[in-house]
Amino acid sequence: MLSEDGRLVTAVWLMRERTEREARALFAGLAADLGALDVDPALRRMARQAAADEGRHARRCRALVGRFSGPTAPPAPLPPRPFQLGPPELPIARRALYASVALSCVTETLATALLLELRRLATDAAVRATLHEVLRDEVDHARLGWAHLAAVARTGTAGWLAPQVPAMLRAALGGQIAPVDAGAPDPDLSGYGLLPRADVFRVVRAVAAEVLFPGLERFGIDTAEARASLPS
Amino acid sequence: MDLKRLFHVLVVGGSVATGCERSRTGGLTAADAAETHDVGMPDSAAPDAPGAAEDAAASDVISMDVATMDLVAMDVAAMDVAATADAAGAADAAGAADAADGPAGNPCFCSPTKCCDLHEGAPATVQAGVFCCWGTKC
Repeated sequence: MLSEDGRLVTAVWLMRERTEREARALFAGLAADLGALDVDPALRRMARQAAADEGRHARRCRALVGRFSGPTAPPAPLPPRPFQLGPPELPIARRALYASVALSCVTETLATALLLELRRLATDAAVRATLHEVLRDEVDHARLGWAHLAAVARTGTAGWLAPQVPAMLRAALGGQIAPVDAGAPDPDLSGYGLLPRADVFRVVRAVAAEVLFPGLERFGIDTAEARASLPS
Repeated sequence: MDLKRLFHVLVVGGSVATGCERSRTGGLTAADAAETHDVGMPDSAAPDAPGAAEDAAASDVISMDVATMDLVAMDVAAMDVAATADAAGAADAAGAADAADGPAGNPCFCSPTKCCDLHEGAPATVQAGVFCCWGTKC
């Protein structure tokens, strides 16, 4: 696949490979933080499993890059920066909850919905198999965040996260949009695992309204600011 | 896309996940499984207070201890190998999964590590009343 569309498909799967590797590092960091806290050991296990899953997802994405562009160089190492989410001054318990909500409740919940849509539309067999494998795991990754949030809400409060949710949403959306200029043509490459931007926003708005925001509110996180921050 | 189902699978299913493990359970309750008419409705008859759903879930559970959870993880790893080794087969499975997302009202809670009955020396099976959707399986 050497056309302009092929280059875009390759670029997106490369971006996803990198995103998966970053997610691996972030889930590993979350697992370490959870290990230092008095929380249900199941949460730590889920985070460790998520880190392992993300590493496997990265390899699957890399295989697709090779399929569409021919042999590729090995992935560049991630930059030497701490893979930690949230304001640096947060104490560890809040830092872990921030990471759980940002990574799992927000990012993985949106990703699950987008993957359901992508898998439905994918026509390339290898793309479809990859989407299927990733989707199967993302369900559990999203549940990790909701499990952690529910556990915190049982004994304390998570309301302090409300002003942080818009930034979490922006970060999650950034990982789902193809790396092209906003005014550039937006071809329908859904057969290869790319949704047009308009469709990404449509799915995100629906899932945010019907799943993400009600879920956050269920556990005491006000979403008025986040709702206002969503692109129309 | 059935967003009510997605809410129930992710938010409600997630919020009971650790509670189930803590009480030696591997899945949602029969009551949850039977909650087919309004699953996932944020404004439905589902308990409003955080933890209420978990408390309800703890009432009728099927046991799964840490060791058996590890067995499930091994099964998942084996499934991963198979999926990687045979992309075409996995694609077929994905196609089948689309058709097998389950009846609209059917509870859809399964993940590779939840909702499964484990049997010593035999493959895990799906708990009664639960449907493995989106390509998930025990």
